[in-house]
Amino acid sequence: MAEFDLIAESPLNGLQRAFEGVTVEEVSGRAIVSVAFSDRAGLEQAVRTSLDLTLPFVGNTARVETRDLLILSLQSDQIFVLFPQTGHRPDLEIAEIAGDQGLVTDQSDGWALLRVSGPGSRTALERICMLDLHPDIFTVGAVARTVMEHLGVIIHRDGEQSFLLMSARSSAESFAHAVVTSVENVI
Amino acid sequence: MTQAFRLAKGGLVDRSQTLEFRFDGAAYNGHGGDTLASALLANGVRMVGRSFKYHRPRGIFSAGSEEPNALVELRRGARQEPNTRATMAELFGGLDARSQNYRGSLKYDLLAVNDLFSPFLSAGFYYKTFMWPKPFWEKLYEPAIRAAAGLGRLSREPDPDVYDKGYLHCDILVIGAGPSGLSAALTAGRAGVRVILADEDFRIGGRLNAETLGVNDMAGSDWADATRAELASMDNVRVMTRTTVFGAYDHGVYGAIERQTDHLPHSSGKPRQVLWRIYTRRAIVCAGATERSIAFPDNDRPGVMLAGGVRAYANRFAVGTGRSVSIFTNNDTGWRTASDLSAKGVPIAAIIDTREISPLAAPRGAAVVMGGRVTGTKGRHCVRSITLAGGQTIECDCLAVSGGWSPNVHLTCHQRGRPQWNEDIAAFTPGGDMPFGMRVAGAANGIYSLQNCLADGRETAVGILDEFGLNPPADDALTADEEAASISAFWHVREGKGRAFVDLQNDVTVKDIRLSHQEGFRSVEHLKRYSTLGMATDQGRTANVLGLAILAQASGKSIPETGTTIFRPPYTPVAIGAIAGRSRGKEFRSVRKTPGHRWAEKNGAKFVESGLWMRAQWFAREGETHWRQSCDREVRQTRASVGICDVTTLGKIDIQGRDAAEFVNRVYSNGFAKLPVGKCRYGLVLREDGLVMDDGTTARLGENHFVMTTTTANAVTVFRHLEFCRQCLWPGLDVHLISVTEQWAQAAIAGPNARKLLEKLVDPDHDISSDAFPFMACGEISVCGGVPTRLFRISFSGELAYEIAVPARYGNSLMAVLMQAGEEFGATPYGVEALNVMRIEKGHATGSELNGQTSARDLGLGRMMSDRKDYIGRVLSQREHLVREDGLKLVGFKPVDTAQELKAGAHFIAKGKEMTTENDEGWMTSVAWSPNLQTSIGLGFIERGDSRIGETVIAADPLREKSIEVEIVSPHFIDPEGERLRG
Amino acid sequence: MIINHPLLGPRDASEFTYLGDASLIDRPDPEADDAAKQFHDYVYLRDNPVGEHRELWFHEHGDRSWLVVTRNTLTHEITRVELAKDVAIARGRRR
Repeated sequence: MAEFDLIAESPLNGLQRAFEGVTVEEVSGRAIVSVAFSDRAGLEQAVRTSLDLTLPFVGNTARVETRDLLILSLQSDQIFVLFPQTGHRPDLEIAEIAGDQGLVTDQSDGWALLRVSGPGSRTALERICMLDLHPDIFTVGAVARTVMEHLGVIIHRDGEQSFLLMSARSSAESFAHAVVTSVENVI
Repeated sequence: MTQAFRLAKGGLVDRSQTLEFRFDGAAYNGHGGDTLASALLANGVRMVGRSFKYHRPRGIFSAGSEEPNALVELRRGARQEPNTRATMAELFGGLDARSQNYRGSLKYDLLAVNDLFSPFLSAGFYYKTFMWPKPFWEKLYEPAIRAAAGLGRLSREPDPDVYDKGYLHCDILVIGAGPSGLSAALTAGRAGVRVILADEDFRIGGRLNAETLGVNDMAGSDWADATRAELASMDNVRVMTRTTVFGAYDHGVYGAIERQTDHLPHSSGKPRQVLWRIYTRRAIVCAGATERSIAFPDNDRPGVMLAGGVRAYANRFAVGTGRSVSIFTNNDTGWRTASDLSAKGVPIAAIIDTREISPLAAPRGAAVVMGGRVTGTKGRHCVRSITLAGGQTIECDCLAVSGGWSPNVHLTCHQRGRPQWNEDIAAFTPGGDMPFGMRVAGAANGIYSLQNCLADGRETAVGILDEFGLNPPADDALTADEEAASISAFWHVREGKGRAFVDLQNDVTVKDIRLSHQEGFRSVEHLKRYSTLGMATDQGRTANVLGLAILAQASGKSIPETGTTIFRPPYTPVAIGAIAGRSRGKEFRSVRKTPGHRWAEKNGAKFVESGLWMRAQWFAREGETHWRQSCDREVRQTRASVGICDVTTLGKIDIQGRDAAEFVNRVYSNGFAKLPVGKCRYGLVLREDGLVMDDGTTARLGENHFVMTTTTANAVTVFRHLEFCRQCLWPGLDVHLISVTEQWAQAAIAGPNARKLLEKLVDPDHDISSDAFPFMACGEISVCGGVPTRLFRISFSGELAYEIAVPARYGNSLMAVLMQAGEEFGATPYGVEALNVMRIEKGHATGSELNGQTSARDLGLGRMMSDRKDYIGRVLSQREHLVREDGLKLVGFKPVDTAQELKAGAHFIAKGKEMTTENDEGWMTSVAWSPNLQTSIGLGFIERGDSRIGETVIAADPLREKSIEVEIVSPHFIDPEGERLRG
Repeated sequence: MIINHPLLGPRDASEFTYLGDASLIDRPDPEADDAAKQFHDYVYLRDNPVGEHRELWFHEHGDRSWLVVTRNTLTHEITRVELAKDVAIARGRRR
């Protein structure tokens, strides 16, 4: 053990709030790595080889259950990969998969992750999310980058009644407050 | 507490529920399902307010959101809300309401004297009467008028209620839940599309609740209730009561206000109102029609009401609006009031119809006067009798007037749609230019019979389903009772004395309109502004058409020739609180905190808002009472030993790709192509106009990998600019950008002991000695046993300094660990004040100097404009004015008398010259007290500054009345050779 | 306002940042003899039409793409939305 130790803290200190029909909880321990690419076909080949997976198009996600890995396709030339954080350099883990087809950047510490789940979650999110979250429109697996209460947010539906929200770490408290207020206002 | 005017049976009120309320201090009872207006009428309260200008007694005029008269104050204390329409206020137990706009008491208003002065208060009186003498306007006239006119009073306290916003989506928004709206919603709902049905009322049904007409052999209100239940059971339909769709905006977006707790005694901390933004593919306006009055002398007396409203009070609320009611009408619907009231046992005194037709069926005992006209009314606080054109007087305590119905075309006008005159119904109907996706059905479209409204609602919905490529559901063929609705336009009675009111809310009379026309205000738009016709909270819902018909007659033109004013949002008033929503006080905007924020809080930091960021301004130690003490100590300690500053807020952009170097080289004015891997360089980003946009240090971490830093303030703008360059200017370059501002917590470690401190944390396999890691070196290392770290040897303070970046999760701990490791050196944390002092001592520019108007040459950075490459801003940075030798130059300043303090914002004037714009030579941008030099120092721009070192000028500050003599000096106050930072 | 993003579908305009005339894509050749005049016109001169206008919008709270939006300035009707990158390439911009 070194003389000086750096201690990790999550952006929302493990926030967890349960309301009637809605739960809001921080999701931590996820590594987030962005992969930018110039040649989609090239990266697609690399991903297929190493993960046996088709690269999702913008607005969609793909999952590798065995590795607990989730790919969010956010831009025409950029994806985010979420997976369990184990080491210090998750970016290098993804660089191995992408090879020379992807440019990786560690984003694990840049985001606060909140899961809003339960039967009332859509009604609560109606207060801050301008996207149409109807289950036929924003289907399970869908992802979008949008704005809520003036804050940039990535929203991903990871279940019929469950949404994963990602927003910038620095404004995480304001964001969590906005989400919790939305729940309190509708229950 | 009897409800003397409550009818014995019928109505849609809940008689099992008795609600006590107060009006002007007196206690009354009403029932569940009442509005404040219906409950007041049930108790025989006829006079509810005084008029805007003349303070004439006024009573409840209508039964809906068009109400011009019955504006009351609701609730007490901070929750007091003025100008609430009693006709829309849902009754609850404990409701406390008061009348408005009088001095003294409502019945004996001292300002009723205004009525006697009415000749002076005619149209445009503001513009005429109070012209002279000029100073009297501000000192006398305006305060007096404001005190006498105007409506309710504000509480002058912060609104304690909370408000919210929200977003909804649907295929079809149905606006209004009367017969056509219900029919449309039912058709669309059964077809499976997503429907929102919104109505301003708390009860679904619209006129079905106010009339006795049946649908499908059911009472209309029962059918409405059954339909509501069916719609509510559908997953694809959302029924929203107490919700007013108030505006039609671009591309099918609608604004709606939902009153969630206004009908409850307490909002219990929940949002009182919710402002909805509704995204639609189509909308069907089923907003119905509003009845209008007829202008005749003294037609504003309490007890004179719209006939449809009288019907609504009887049928829906089981309230008789009088003991003896007369009807004055120009159309068939007035007769329905007579028959409905009579059926409920309310005696009808007379029916006066302006038309020369054979009379319709009149109730027994009612006198019928065809071709008749009401020429006056009598009664002090309520009508007691009316006089007819023939001189006949009829005793009655309520006069129900119908001048015809005007379709509620408002939403169709919100994008400049112009309604068209329809002579058959003597009303304006929606014009051709509708907002995107909007359809109109039922009475709002000028279709007045119930059967046709039901059919029109369905057909409109079927038409939309067809556009969606969907089949309509089976037609359940709604059938309704027959009714008569013919009309012959009649606007105002010419006979009789006394004022004939057109716009009750603004006290605009027939005479005012004629006078306006006579004075040359001939367009309806001018008429409106000059006479105030159609202004204020009701926006002339009952008055506009009447007013312009009178204008048309005065000008001898037809109504279509005269035209109409159109409508803007909102349809009915929307509280500012609802528009603000949650954005109040501290929640007006979000707050950004660095990972080290909590550490700073615990260590005495005072914070300053810098954009959204909270930054530590200084760290007060025990015994320090003034910020300067803390700041001076932080500066001295940093320069003497070592200081630590959280610089996480700087923007950081990860730039990668085969063309990353080429890209960076094009966006900076100075060269970056040949920057070696493992090195940083300070760079200037120019705008295309040649002026400086931003500055910062960019590090080359790999052959194809750069990290650019931006100033805190410009992080977002610079990222946007880089994406513009990448996508729009050089789409062929292989380069990718992503912000890493949030990923890394970054701290500056500055001072002679910076390296010694850092070496204690850096893992042993990394060498940060000056030889291995010289000034402007950068690298990816690790600290504290493997934590990935980016280290930059850069200096803003001018000392030996590093910036260390670790993943943000360690940011809070990093500050503590740095301080722990620095303990032996007496390390101090420093805030932005000390940072600012040290950068001024070094002559470094920040936002005060990079203000968007300065060039690289002005900043003394002309050498940073490469002439060996193209870059953004190059061509225009060479413009004549920007390269002139006598231009502004950034230099340092010191007061000649060191006891004096410099002020930022002071302008430089040559000694002995006048303080005029012509003699202005530049301005002071930044100042600080230098604890090292023991003097106030400053930076500023002054003409030819670099060649005037040693000269003295006046720093003129006429605003703060302080002008002092200053010496122009080099901007590098400390260590001009830069020996410290290379140490 | 709603902008129908070519990749993402309809999105509220509040996710976007407005820049201005799409002619900003046509950055002049800095080596041209009259480069100074061309840049002056490029930076300072804009048409301000009543009616159809091609303009640049940045999807700041979205996929970070620059778009060329063809919008009627009188009615706000949007008739076309393209990726600015595609427009730039079509206009001959490369490296």
